[in-house]
Amino acid sequence: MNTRKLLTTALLVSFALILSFIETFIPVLSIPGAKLGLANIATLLALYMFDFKTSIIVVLLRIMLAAFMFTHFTALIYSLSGGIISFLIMYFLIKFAQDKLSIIGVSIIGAIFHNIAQLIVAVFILNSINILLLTPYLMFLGIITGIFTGISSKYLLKYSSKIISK
Amino acid sequence: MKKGDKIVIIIIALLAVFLFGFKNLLDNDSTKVAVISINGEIYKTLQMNNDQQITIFTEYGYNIVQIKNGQASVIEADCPDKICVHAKAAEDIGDVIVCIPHRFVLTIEKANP
Repeated sequence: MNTRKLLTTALLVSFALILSFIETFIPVLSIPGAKLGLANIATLLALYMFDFKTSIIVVLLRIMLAAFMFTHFTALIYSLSGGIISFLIMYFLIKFAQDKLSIIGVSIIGAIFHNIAQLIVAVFILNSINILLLTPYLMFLGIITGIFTGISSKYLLKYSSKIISK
Repeated sequence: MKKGDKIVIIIIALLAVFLFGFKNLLDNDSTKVAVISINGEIYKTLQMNNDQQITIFTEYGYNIVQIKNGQASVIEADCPDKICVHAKAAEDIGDVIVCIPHRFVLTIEKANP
């Protein structure tokens, strides 16, 4: 890992942390797990700019640091499962379906799998299958927030790739 | 936006509409109860046609549940996120109110005759 890459990784992690912090002030629908997913912008940027290893480092660092700084430690298991599942799904989509899907489609699918993974964890933690009835709400929400973060990432990627080269 | 993106949006929207429809197929005419569970174990079952207010104290904290005009809602709680308090009132079978920090789940179910 050269200095430039190291710096960019650190920048992306801090960018993601700032977004996670801002997000704590924006309430979205009163459904557990519903949020804008702004930090996903940083994940998408990392995925499109770097390799697997660097981008998963960005995701894991962001989740760990955000859990210690802004949320309760118990929230870690939710964000970790959602973050890792959506990261892996988005990674494989970019790798195998890049000619069919743009960053917006990748972002939508990532958002929805993030929500679904969290719901499944909630089913086990709360020991209640009924929570799955919230799935359709989270799917609609995922489409909207996914389009929003996808478009934001698209423009950010355009400008940041001018400054930050591989 | 590529064609694939639009297909993804349409498929997910259709799936969500389908799931909503599935929930609405549930029988909503029968007598309903609000089932409150903590940690997956049924804590209390409340009749929905009976206006009442109860406070649920557990090791995690408290939630005050109100049933009024056939709608159940959490009117007060000491959880950090207050998602349960802001949640839409539950009235139809299948509606859920969740308070993750307190391991609290309220679901509307069909009353056993």
